[in-house]
Amino acid sequence: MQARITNLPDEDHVMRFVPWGRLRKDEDDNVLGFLGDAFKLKPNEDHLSVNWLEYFDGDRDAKIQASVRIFRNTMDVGGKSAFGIGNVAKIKEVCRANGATVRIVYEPRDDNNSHSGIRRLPRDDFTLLEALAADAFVELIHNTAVPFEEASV
Amino acid sequence: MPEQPYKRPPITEAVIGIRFADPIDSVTLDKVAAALKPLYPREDILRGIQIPFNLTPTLPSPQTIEQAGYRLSSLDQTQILILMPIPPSLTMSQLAPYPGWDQFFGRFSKDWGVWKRSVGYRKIIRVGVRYINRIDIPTADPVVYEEEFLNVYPHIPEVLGPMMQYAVQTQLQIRDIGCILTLNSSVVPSPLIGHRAFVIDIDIGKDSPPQNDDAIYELINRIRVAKNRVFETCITDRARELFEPWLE
Amino acid sequence: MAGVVVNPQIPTVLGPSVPPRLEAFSAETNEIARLVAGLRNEPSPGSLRSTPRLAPDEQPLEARLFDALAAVKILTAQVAMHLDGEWRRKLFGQLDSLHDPEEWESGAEPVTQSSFATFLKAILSVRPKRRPGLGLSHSGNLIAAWTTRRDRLTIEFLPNDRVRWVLARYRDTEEEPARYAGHTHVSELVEGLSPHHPEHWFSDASKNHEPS
Repeated sequence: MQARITNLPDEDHVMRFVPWGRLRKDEDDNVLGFLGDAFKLKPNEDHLSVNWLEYFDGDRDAKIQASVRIFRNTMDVGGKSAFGIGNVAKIKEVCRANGATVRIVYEPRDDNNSHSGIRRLPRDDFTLLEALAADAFVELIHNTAVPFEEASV
Repeated sequence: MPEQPYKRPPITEAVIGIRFADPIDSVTLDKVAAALKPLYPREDILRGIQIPFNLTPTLPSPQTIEQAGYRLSSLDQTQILILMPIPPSLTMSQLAPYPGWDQFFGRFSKDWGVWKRSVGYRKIIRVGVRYINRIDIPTADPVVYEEEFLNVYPHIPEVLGPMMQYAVQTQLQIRDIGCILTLNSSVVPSPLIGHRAFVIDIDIGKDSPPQNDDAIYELINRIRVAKNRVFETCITDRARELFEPWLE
Repeated sequence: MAGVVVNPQIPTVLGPSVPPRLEAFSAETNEIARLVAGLRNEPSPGSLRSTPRLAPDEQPLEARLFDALAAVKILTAQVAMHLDGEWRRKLFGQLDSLHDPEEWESGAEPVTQSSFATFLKAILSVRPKRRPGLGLSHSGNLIAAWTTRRDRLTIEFLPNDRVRWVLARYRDTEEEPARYAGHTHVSELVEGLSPHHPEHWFSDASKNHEPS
């Protein structure tokens, strides 16, 4: 179990669930990446929810699989959805370059011990959101690429 | 020679409507809707309130009756069939893109066949065909000179200046087929940026129409010919260019 | 002739409504108005829509999604004569895919008529040879995305004929792109994009990207 900390280390990574409708696609529905709207705060949110990848044990694949299973256990994950992975330092850098100073904070929940929040994200900065989609969350994991197994919180 | 004279006909909706003498009960309506289900995968209930203008002496006034009809449609929403108990009617509609008369009339005859097999004979009091056209004119000018595109428009003294909006409604007889033409034309906002638009709404119908299928089909085809004649008479060559006529 | 009110929902989002007129007071004038109104054609069948008995949040999801799709497909019919048939068919396929109940995110809104009307106006104004990829914001705004290699153009279609867009162009030697953005009326979209050579995304020759 990781020691309890507040700010996630810069060298670590976070994972964001992105439903089908907010994936960037081409004209034939081939997935190319993420739309900025995937990182936009909903009206009732004050932080952007992500999973802290390094919370989980094992190699990188094991961490990814564990994080995806958490998402599957806690929300409706459609077959064509995906997950975005971004480096903490890079996320902060991209936000800074677009005039926003964010904190990425460890905030475990009862049903998700890896839960973290990106705080102080501007509510609806279209340019910043596009930059996050293009330059920060640069790794895309298709839901279909992660095998289904029993999950533990 | 293509059936359709224009590559981009300005038809926004084409309608064939049959009106019956007597109300249709809900059991019959349900039966017809079920029979038409294979042709129209989507079914919606239409709920309406009738306020009769012609009151029978034995009934209290005003009278309201809630009746349910059916709106049947294709998945892409371009093919629509409305079944109403009051006024008792079958109305078939085609939204743009218009597929041409052969396909449009072919669908009607198929639907009518299903209706007849399900319901049998019901006295028909009106057969009508209606085409709604919208002509989109590229212009940045808030005033559009309708006479450049249309032959149907109101005439007002020049000293009053150009019109910005108008609506024309008229009824005429089409004697050779014993029908009434109701013609509506107006300026409307265009859905295209930098455009203005005119609507030409042509409704041709016959009260006391024939009752057998062959005669009904013949009447509808003759109405179609008349409708085309009316439309071509209402527009100028400048309007035709916008629809991209097929070159012979 | 009996009058029937069937809750017509005539799609007016593609244009402004007719301004109201003053009511007349004399019986003769009102009779004239009634006779004139009698000449008017009834609402067309295409404009008749059933009013859902349930509020949107009470409707089953599939019904809610279908109603939203039906509404925008009817809107498309108003301009279908200006659209290529194949373009329209594939657009409907993309819209259907976006509204797949199996992929639907709880709490999200299906595409709104107002946003879609803005989209149609934009597409008919810009006339891109390449169709965009489509997405949907959580609040039901349609989003169009064009991607050429690493370069991205994204347009969100807002209600009331507003659009906002952002584009990113990467130079070969640089890791960070140049980004430009706009937020305008849809009638100004072409003008807003023109300094940035939108043909880089809109032309047929620009199709060059790697699916993820």
